[in-house]
Amino acid sequence: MAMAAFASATGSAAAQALTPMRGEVRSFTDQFAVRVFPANPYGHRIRIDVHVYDETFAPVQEAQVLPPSATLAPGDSRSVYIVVPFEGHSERKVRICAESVPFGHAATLLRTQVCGRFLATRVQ
Amino acid sequence: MWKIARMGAVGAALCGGASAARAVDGLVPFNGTILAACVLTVGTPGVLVANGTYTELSSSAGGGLGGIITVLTTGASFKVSALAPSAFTLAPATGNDNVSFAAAYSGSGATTMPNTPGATQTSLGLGVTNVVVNLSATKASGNFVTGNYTATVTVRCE
Repeated sequence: MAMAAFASATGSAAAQALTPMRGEVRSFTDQFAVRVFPANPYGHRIRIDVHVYDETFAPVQEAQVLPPSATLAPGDSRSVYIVVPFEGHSERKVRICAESVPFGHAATLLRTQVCGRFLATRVQ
Repeated sequence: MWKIARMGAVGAALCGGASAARAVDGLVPFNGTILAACVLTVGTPGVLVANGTYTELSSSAGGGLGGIITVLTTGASFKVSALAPSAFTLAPATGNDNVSFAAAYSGSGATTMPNTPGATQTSLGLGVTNVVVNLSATKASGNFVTGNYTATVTVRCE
């Protein structure tokens, strides 16, 4: 059950909400792993949640996100490690989304959701 | 005279020797990689106001205010949309009864977008686009009663 493949950025500068936003992964096992870097572009601390969705934006419940949420300092970023099972398929497309927790006190709040699209292929 | 000339020649040779030690330039390479990214930055949240019959709360009505968000893209093929909520996150007891929501957005800057239904995705150009997001909540029956109302629009870039 060891992870065989990673999609990861070599680094992420400040003011990037999520990198990478596209990726292709090959795995020799029944699951694949992706590493993404959500970032805080604001001048104040924010909390970011990371969720995994399928092609239709239905949550992928069986995905493991480590950590699923994080508090980021201004301009900071951190790595988030995601493991997704193939569920018997030879190919799987997922969206990994970094979602900021809404802030403000007005009647209409805005939540930002930046989603990367990843294609994983199981090598038989 | 000959001695003086010889000393001058030696001095010149010394000075010339000093100036002949040329500066050596070392080249230090710098490399950087910018990954394709989409950055969403919320400027100001919106403000909802009621219409005259208290059947609609809207940010685009007189006195209302659309939410402002800045979208920065460093790569192509990104799209933006604004998803309306299904309910108020904060409302009086009957606030969510018979309510439907509709979001819309428009944009200027790197990408010019006319008023667009929120669920419709719009392709983004490279650079900074300023997006104004509007929300309306309409009651099919009944009226909005006194109290505080809060709803959350999700602005998505993918």
